[in-house]
Amino acid sequence: MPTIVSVDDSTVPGEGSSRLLLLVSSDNKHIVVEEDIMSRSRFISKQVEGFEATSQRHAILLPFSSFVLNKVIEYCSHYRGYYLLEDDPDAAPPGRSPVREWDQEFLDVDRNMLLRIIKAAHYLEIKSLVGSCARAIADMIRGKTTEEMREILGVENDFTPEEEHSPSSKCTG
Amino acid sequence: MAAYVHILRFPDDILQEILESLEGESLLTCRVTCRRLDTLISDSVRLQYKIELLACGMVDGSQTLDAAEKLKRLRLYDAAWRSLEWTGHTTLPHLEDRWFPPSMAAAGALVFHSADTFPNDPRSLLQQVSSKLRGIPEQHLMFPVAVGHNALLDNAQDLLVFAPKLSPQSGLCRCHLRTLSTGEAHPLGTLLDPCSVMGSRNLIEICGDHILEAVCTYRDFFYYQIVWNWKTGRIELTLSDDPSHRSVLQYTRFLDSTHIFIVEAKFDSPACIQVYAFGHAPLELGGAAHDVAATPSHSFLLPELSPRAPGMVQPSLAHGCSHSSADASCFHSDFAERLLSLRLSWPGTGLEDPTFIFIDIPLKTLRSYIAAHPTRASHAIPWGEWGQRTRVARGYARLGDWEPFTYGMRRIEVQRSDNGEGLMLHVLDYHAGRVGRALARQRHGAEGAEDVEVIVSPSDASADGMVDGLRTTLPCLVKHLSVPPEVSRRMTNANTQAFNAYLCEDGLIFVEQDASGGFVTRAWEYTF
Repeated sequence: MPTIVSVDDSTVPGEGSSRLLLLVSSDNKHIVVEEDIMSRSRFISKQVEGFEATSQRHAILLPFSSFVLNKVIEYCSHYRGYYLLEDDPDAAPPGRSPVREWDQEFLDVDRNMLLRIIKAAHYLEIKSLVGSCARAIADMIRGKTTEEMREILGVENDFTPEEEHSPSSKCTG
Repeated sequence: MAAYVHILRFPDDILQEILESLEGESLLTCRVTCRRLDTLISDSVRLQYKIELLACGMVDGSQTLDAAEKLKRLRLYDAAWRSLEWTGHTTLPHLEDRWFPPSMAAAGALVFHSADTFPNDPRSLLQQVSSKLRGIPEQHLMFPVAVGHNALLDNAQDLLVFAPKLSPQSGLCRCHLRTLSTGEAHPLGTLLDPCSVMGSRNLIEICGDHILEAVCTYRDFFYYQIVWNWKTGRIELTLSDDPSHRSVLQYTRFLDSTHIFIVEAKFDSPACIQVYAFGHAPLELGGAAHDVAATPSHSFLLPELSPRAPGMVQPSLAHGCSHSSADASCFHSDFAERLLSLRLSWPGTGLEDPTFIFIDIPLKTLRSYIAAHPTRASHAIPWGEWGQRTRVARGYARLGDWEPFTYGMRRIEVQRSDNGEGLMLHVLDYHAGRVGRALARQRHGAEGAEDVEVIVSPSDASADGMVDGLRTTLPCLVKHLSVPPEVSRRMTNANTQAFNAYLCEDGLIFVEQDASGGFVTRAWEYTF
């Protein structure tokens, strides 16, 4: 159950019209962030809509560490006020996300971190970040052999030997 | 820090997002890593489309259709190719009088043909054959030159090369390097054509940056086989013909991007395949160039083609030597898949039915042989080692002209006999690893000839080596292919000299002769 924290309903002075949100990470760190920054996240937006409806504001509990959360907030702060096509639920095109140089640098992290970020981005429903992470992961495995791919993705070969030796008929159309 | 992150604990849509960012080849690797990813890839229409597109050797086009629709059409297209049934046809306009067969060059959905019967009004037409299925409109580009057969098309490089036909008085014959899309000069093409001559040119093939052509100068009527780079204008290889040993036949093509080969038979020496590497000091045209002709890096004797073989007269290869051309429209312009198919015959012996022998040599084998024997050498290799033979039944004698043609990984060759009774099709599907050789016999009914039934049967002989492992996993093609009904009716005209057919993306283009003897070109679409 989310902890109910009473939050002042009025606008915080000196911060324009943006209100504050209290995010709680899985390692129990409390992070205060402007609502405006996090509006890119569909998950947060829906929470905020809920607050509006019930006039009750509470902290939002998130199932990942503050380390990852800070990274996501960094991303959202960078794109604060930008319109990204993939984040627009009405206009999001199917398929690949476009390459953004800043994202590539931002996601130049180790494999585990990258996977945590994509998981967090998916939880928070930030499509643009999921897309960029997916692209970065794809770049890691592109052109690799089957064994190398298994290692990078951390998957086990669970095919039976017969299956492995008969190439799937679908692959040749 | 927390433990290792396992990707398989992720929800499907994250994994899908990652897979979406991969291309066909990586997807194929990815799907064999584990069951979960395999299932995800198989279940996604978009990913499946990417893979099947790769499998068909095609590239994505339309942005307006969704993946499901595109996949559906791709499968229909592929199935249609395999079943080879016809829907309808469009008649392509001819440039000139219908009493002349058109001179054509075709690649993919493009046809280039030329009118050269009226010297005052030379014209050539580049034509895009329409496709109902893929929504491609018919389009034309006109050029005010006559080129005859002298044109090459390369879809992959957006390149059209042609050399106008000229009379001896009209000056140097220069190549035009144009783009297929606009007809303008190709931006990468050299301004200096190194082969401009007072003479005639016969463009043979494009392979990447290089063009292979045969040039004959009006000065001494020597023939030169020249390989030159169309981007830099540099001549890479010149071979000249020794006039004292005029060939009975000569057939030259690219073997790969650094070699050409020549199949040659002369009156006084055994026939052979000679392989030449590029990169010699280029020779000047004309003059005494033929004295210092390049020497072949490898030479393969063709004992069965030797004119001195006991009990045989001169074998003829002149029209029977076929080769899948360096198809510009090849999406996988992969020379490894090419096949040299020789047809040998011994005409003029007075025998009723001369025998034809087809020998297929996968060029892959020829090339690996060269790699294994890098020093300059002559080899006499029994056919069994690298080629396979098929003896064609009696009764298909005197086959007329035939046209090999390719599209992508597939090739069909059509031959018909002089008497209009026989039709032969080779159907080679390199990709699926299927080879069929079809023999057809026109049945004579009460009202003259009727349908032509063509049976494409697996030909184990020619499949060997060419298709390697693919063949073991896929069944061979056994199809009953009927030629379009219209076409078969036309074929009852026993006088048809040439029965030309060209493969295009959505069907075949046939040049037919109608009842009155005029020529008609029709593009036939497969059933979709």
